[in-house]
Amino acid sequence: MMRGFPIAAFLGLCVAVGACGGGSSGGGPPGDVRSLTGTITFDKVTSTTAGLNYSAIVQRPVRGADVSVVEAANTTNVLGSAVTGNDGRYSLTWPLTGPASVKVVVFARTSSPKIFVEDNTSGSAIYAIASGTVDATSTTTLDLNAPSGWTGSSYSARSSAPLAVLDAATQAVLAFRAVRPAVAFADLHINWSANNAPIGRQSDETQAQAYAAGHIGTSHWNGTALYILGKADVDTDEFDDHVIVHEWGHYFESTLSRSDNPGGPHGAGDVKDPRLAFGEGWGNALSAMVWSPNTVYSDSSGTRQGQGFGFDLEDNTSSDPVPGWFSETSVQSILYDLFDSGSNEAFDGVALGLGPIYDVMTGGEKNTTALTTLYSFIAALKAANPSQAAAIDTLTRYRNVVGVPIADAYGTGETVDGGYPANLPLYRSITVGSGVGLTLFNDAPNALSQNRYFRYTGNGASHTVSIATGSSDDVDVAVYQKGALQAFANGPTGTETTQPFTAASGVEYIIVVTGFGTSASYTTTVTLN
Amino acid sequence: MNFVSLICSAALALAACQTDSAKRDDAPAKQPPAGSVGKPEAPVQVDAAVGTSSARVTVRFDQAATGLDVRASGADGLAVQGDGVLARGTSVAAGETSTFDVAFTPGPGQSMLVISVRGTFAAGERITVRAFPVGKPSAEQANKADAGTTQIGNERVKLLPAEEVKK
Repeated sequence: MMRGFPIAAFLGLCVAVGACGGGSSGGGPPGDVRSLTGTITFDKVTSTTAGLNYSAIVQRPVRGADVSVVEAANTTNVLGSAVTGNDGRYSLTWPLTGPASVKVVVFARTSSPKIFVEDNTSGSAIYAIASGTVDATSTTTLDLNAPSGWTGSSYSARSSAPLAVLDAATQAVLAFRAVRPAVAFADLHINWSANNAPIGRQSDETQAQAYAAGHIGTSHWNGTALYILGKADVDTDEFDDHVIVHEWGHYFESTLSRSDNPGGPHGAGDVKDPRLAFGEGWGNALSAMVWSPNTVYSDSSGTRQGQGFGFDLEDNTSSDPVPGWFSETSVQSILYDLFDSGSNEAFDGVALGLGPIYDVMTGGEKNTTALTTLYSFIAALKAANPSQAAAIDTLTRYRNVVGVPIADAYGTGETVDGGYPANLPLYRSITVGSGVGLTLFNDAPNALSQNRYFRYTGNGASHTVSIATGSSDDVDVAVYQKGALQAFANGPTGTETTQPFTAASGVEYIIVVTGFGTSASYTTTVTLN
Repeated sequence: MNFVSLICSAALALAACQTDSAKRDDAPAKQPPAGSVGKPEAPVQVDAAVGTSSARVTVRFDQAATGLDVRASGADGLAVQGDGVLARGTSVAAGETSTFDVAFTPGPGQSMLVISVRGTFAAGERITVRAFPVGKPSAEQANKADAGTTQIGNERVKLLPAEEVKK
């Protein structure tokens, strides 16, 4: 069984913009004004795990978008503005003395919160759709639809694409506002373009030039903005609702919560650094929460957008071949099961909904002195929901994701080792002047076996951290306090020392050692000086 | 390697990672590693050495896979010679690297070679798509940035057509 959002949730935006059924900035009583009312919709092409289904195009309302009426002969002359309601309805008025020959322009932009869908290959111009010229002396109702532009074999103008992207982000906003109406979202700029291709930054390009050329690599959040693929016959994501919300989830982490995710390639079935596992699992789980009851993540690509793949967030087994706290798939399954009712799963006796998850993501998870992992999230969730603690433990113990009930943010007592006993304990202690030996194993630098954590509580003294590696393997080290980098050493060798940092008295610092070595196994010694 | 190069290895940076050492020297003293931010894909790394009419494509598989389907196609006028099927139904071990030579006829100006890798990995079927530019942009392509923008009020807008709905 799955959880859906009540229709009242969608009224939240109406309240926010004061424009259900159409708002207006025009003044004066009826008779003194010209007016246009109507409904704005866009073509939504259905995304499936086998690609886009152009036989299943539906019209969805454009929700909470800015709409203006402009003089047809001079589009710089804005006569009136409003905001669409959640049903897509708008109402525009402007003085009777104003022009009657007008156009209606609907922006791919919401005002509350401010979400902008822009073309990164056209100088970040905001997208909008526009009507033809309308004679307002004879027309008072105007319904508009943004077509997909699909001709059966290719696209013409892709009018609905930016509005589909906006809609997915709006859906995420509404999901949170349904349970926590006061959420203050940061401005969000989403860059979508028909030129956005899975091309990496070229050697002769700056990052800005790469974005301007549509060389975005893949759909991603770069810390300040979202970039979404749009290259037809290659990879488009504008109609892949779950993909967009996955990326929106990274925006959420950056602006309202916190992510210590180290980055790098990853995939389901990997044994990864738990910071990465949590971040990626969060994005996938959130996509299913937001689009519940549609729990199937789907991503289309290829010629005529005719191929795709996907996975069901309700699947705790086949999509998670190596369960554990280091598995992004385990994380996403747990997070989604915390949200949904779980009445169809004996191990899932929790049904928290999105509200308590929001509370932890913006509270305990954001402020943890540990790194952001499944442990920090679950520890905070159990503390905030003590009556659910036993059921949460049952869920996290399912398939031995954790070996013992999660007792704190540091994974204390963990027994599931991800294949190497040296992966435990998750956090080690370190004292000044005493070298601690570590064993690392050849794998990607963001693998669990290449990352080790230490805890240290400061006393006001200044420190450096040194690493000494006997082999030729490269090892780096970084020091964090609540996720903020304090010092690091990231040279090309395994023997180096960080810059000095002052460890405030009574404040906990986390030292992260990351191996880049290719020896099957190798050792390094870490010293806090 | 370093934190910066770890970031570069993320899919979004791809080719930029050729400049690891320069980035290391330029790294700000307080720059934290950015989060991994790309969408879920197949656990592969796709690279290509692209010439004017051919490319050598390298696919490294981070996980074992079965039922592999590796295809080359073109966009923006590039036409791959042959059916574009580079591998079909094959299996690979984790860490294996496969190399393919692809011949093509480029499109006008800048076109792109597209490589799609699809297979069943540890967690099920996944796809990764990567594209590689071929040639230099034509004047028309280079000027695309300002194409189709209109001034609405005081802002520049990428205007797209709407259709009137008749009831």
